[in-house]
Amino acid sequence: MAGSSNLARQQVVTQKKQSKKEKIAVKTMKRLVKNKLALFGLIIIFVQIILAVFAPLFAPYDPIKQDLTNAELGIGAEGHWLGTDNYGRDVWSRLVFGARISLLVGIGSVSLGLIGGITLGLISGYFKKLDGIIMRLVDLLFAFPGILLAMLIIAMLGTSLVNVVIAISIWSIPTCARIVRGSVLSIKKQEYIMAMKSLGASNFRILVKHILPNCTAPIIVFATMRMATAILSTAALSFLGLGAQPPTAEWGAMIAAGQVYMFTSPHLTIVPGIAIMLVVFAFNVVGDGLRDALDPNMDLDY
Amino acid sequence: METLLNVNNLVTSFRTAKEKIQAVRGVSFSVDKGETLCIVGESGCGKSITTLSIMRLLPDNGEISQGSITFQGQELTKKNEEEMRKHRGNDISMIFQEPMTALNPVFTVGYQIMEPLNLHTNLAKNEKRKRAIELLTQVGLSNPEKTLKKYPHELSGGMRQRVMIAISLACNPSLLIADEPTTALDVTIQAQILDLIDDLKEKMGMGVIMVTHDMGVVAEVADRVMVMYAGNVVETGNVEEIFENPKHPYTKGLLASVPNVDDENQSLEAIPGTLPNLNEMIAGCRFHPRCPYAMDKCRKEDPPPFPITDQHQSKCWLHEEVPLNDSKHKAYS
Repeated sequence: MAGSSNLARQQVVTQKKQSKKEKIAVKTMKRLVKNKLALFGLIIIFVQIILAVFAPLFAPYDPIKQDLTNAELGIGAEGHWLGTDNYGRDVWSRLVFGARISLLVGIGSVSLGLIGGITLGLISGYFKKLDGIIMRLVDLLFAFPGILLAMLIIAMLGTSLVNVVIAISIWSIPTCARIVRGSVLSIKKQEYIMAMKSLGASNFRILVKHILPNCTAPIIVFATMRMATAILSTAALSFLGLGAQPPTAEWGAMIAAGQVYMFTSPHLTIVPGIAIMLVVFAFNVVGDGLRDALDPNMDLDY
Repeated sequence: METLLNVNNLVTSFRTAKEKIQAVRGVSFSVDKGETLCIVGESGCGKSITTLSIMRLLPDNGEISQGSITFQGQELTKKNEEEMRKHRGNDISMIFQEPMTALNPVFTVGYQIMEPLNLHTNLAKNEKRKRAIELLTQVGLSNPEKTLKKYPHELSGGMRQRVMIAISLACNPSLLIADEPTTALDVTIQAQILDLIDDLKEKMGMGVIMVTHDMGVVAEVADRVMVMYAGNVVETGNVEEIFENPKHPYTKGLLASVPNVDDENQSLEAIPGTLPNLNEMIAGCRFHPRCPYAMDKCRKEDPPPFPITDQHQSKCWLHEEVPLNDSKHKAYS
């Protein structure tokens, strides 16, 4: 009897230990899911990830294989539920493979942009002497309209998806640097940073191990929101012919190819358009939700 | 007693847009092993800046412009940043005023206690853990293993201050600087924390510099007291001498402004006026505008410290002749 109650208590203790570690993440997730819009966004993102990862399983046809006998089939056609394009390629298959590209480009450019932005932001926030130089550089980047900057970079590097990733990441750097710098400026004045200095920690250690973890919340929100912008810009650049080249199945390129057939087969532009819209909307909504969920001042329902 | 820290004629100044402002104007003192020195004074008189100068942790625009700081026979003012880092947290460590903000909110207590060990030792992970538990037990936290896994917000103010003390003691420092360690705590916890620091001091033979503006704290823990006013040391002495026989008018004023529970009719005496601004030019003694005993000489010349006994010094013209007589008496007797 006593043994069993002891066992139960031990279980409770271990459960508690586990829960404490994941507490913050779980709490944030719970709050995020409570937000109906964010939940909707999460579902869309989840679906996109599933489609992207298992694209060959979901796509019934090869996305670049032409079948001219079945060109320009409408929505609901037999065997092609989203129809086919002017070369007879299955729109649904192209959409699924396009999900893969937009996700990859989004993640790639955001992570590259984060690496650059966080580094610059940390340095300029912490070292007063470098702050001026780095921030003027960032101002310079800000002066260009984003898409123009991306076009400029692609014009220099050449058109390819990899260069799109680079262009978009460079364009993400200034915003990220500003956000991180702001957080660092407020965190470095905290007494615990002084306490760390008084323990003999080096500047690098303080920056990376003590300041950076304190500004993860704004970085996470920024990254999520930036995913939306990155996906949208990839589509825009591909639409302009600067990104994915035909026959690559990319949403923006699909719209560009379909616009000629706007009146005869409007689904060629509308379907990828809806896909872009849904995904961009989803990332924005989740970003918003995360911002609220990560904000300690939003503790209203606790 | 072995001298641990010797500060000689320390001048710390800050660059501002207009000029250089001296926040500490030629402060000299020493701390022996196993001794507690209390630095007392109003807010803004340079107490904290003095301690930060010792740690070489002044804000970016501050610098030590004169004087020497010798710690265990080594000159600290000439060391470079890297060498200084090896001292910080290792043989000189510091406790801050605000336990609420001096712990990083995103890390567990255990991680933060092990941080100085990460920095200054090469212990294995389980050894560090053992040491952390040992430290937490030493500072009187019950259930140390559980506390290791807690985040700072789960602890009370007193517990956090204990954790801070544990962190600062991690590498067995020989000098502990406590910058108003009890100001943010309530009175019962204050007494516990002071006792704890005192106990640990005796156990480990540390020197302690305690910065405070609370005369009650001074009476409780100090061996020697140094009273500061506007960047100067105005009086130093043993704690008994300072409390029973304060010489400098400012010290007298400070003591008169402490309430006494036993005396019902006592009315508190405030020191008139306020602390002068750092950039204010005051001819003569910096205290003279507020001093009830100010003489003509005080307005013209800054007094040097006059010895009253061999431990007791007062920086006031009132005691100009006293030391002569005193020393004569001593010489004959």
